[in-house]
Amino acid sequence: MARLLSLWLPTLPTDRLRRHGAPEGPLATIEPLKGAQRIAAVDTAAAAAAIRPGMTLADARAICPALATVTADPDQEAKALRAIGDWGLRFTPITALDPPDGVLLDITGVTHLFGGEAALLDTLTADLAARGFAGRAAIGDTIEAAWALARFGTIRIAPPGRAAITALSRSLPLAALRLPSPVLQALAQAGLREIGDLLTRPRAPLAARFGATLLERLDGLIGLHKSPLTPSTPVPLFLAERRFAHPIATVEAIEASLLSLARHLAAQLERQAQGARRVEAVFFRVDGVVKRLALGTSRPLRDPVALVRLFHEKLESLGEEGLDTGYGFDVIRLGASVAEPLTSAQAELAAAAEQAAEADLALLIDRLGARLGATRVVRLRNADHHRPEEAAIAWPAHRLSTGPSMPDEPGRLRPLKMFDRPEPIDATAGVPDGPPLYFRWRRTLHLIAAVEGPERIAAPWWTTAAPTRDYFQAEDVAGHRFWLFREGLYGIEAARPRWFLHGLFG
Amino acid sequence: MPSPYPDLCSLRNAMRRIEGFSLTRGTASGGDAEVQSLQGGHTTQRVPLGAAPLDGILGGGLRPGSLHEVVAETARDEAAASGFAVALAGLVARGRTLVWILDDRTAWEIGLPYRPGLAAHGIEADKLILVKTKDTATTLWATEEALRAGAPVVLTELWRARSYDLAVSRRLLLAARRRGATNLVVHVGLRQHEVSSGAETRFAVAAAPSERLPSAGAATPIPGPAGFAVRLVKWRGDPDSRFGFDRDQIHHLSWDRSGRRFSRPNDLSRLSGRHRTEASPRGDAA
Repeated sequence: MARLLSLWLPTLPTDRLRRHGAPEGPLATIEPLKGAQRIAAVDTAAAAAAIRPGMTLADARAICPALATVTADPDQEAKALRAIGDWGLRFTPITALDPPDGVLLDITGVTHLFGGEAALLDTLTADLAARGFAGRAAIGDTIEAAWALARFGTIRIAPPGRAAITALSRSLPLAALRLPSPVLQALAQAGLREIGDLLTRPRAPLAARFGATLLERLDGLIGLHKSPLTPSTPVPLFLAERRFAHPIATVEAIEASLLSLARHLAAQLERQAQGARRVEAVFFRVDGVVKRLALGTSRPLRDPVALVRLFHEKLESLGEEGLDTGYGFDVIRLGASVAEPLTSAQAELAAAAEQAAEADLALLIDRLGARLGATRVVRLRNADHHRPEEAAIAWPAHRLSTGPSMPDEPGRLRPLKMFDRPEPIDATAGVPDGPPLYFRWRRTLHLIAAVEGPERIAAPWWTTAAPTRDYFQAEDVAGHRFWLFREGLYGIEAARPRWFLHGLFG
Repeated sequence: MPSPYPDLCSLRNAMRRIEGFSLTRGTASGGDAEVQSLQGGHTTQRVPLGAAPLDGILGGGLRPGSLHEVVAETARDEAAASGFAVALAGLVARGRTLVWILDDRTAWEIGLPYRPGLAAHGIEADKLILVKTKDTATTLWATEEALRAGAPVVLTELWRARSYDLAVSRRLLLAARRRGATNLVVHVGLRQHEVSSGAETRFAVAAAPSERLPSAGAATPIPGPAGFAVRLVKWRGDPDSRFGFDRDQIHHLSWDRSGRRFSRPNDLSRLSGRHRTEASPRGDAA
């Protein structure tokens, strides 16, 4: 039986402003709507003064001259909600945002950690209040039930089972069904006020008159239909978690606790003969901030020590400042979000030695990638492009096995090294469309003694008109070799073609 | 990875220790090119460069499982020195994995490895792992990690690494020896007299004019196989003859793109004098 918790933050916009030092007294956010400044959200003091969202600013000022107003910032409000959603992850790994002002938590099977559902609700709302956000939360069997109770219920916990929620929802207003406003208006015109009014009526006429959504929501509320919760962060397949009475802040302590978590994770993986390909450590800071460290591995990994060594590289490159430990972390969670079958070692000796060497290399790639970033540990692959700078792609090595890629184009003369972007040079050619005679690159003059070319490389016709390039392999009198090109066909594409140095031969 | 046969594993380790010991002794006594050892399942046989006098001095070729350095003769020769080291790395790797580590500054100076050009320079591109670092310290750390992990060949390009000294190079050398890995270090931006290390060999490399081929239509000839003028400035493979080779002797090599090996240029008469002193500027030969 699933249990879901819906958290409602009725004054999220104003609470956010208070946290950023908004003045005392009634506070409201305003937004321009239909040519007038209208109230978007209010705090409790303003609500007590009978200010309602949707009022024009002029009306609100007339009712309550002391009202302070700030322009609404939907982006920042969404960001605040996301932060609260992250904070909710400390209670359960499965959470979802419920914009604009709610968060959903799947608390199935986690309540015993907090001493029961009532205790969990108390902890959650108290914790939230300490951070300056007013919240109401309720627990039910379905998303709809928890949602309705959080916003309109007097009882916070619906006991499991359909009978209980059906009885509880009879006295709830129809707004608790979360219906679009035209449907709500139509229901009001029909004289229907409470959910109990709907439950006693035959279903078919209701659906015919008010649409299928009404019955869907009603069924959801009383547990006849269960709508799924879509987690806002991927839920790990394997998970280990540790809570600390005293927050930990040093890298040594974090690594030590990661090791014990990794052992738990390894035991879980071993039972299913799996190895982790993607591992994420989530750190919950005491002040509600959530930090994440994610790692990809180049082969399924289960060894806890190897896993923690990868995190060690990552932590080493970040440092305590980089991880921003602040007041310390009180919950650390280690999860494997991608896992693959990991078979035990081959018995055959030669194969075992080869495999061991390959495993060592894979571990090396992971360690280097953890420290330097995956984009800095790469394998090079050919790509199907003629433009030299697009002819090769660097792939993160941990995502690519050693298998062969597209073969090299035979017979092409290509340099050993290439510059990120072609470097402009001063070159002089005997005839405007001929090979260069000498050129100056990085303040050094090179006299050309031998040259091969041109190899003409034009941009594909479907791209924007990049000029044609004529490539030359040039050797200067001392034997240094360069890959040069002239940009633009003389007299056709450019009056004075420019020269570039693109690469060097060994 | 835990071996299914722990006894066998410890036996192999013991053998490795004995073999490693006899290898150093064997080299010390006679410089035998065919000394073999079971290290990491591969036979460590000297890798000949393909040019007789140089291979002769080196006792048959470059020794795997050790540290070798390449330095450019002048600032203009950085690319040639790098190309020479890449060719050596390809010869030693023989199709096995090559880890190539360089920092951003080096990439700015002499460019990043370009995949379509690797094969002609002797590298099996599919087996290459490229590691781009931000600074020298990270490059050295990554190099040691790669050697410890048993990567068969590690090519390190350093930019003006003043922190690279005897102690650092000794660490790399020991890491290389332990797993039978070969480390090639290219010093970009440093001259050979500025480097002091515990490396087994050090080459000072300059580009040399190639054996140019006449062009059919134009007056300017076509470049031939890439030429290198290489000096062996350090070799400590054989303690008895440490001073028995000529540091100023220039060995002319040319790189055969299709055969993927070095050879001696045919026409030596075009090339400049055999000896030169440290102080004299390198004359352009052609």
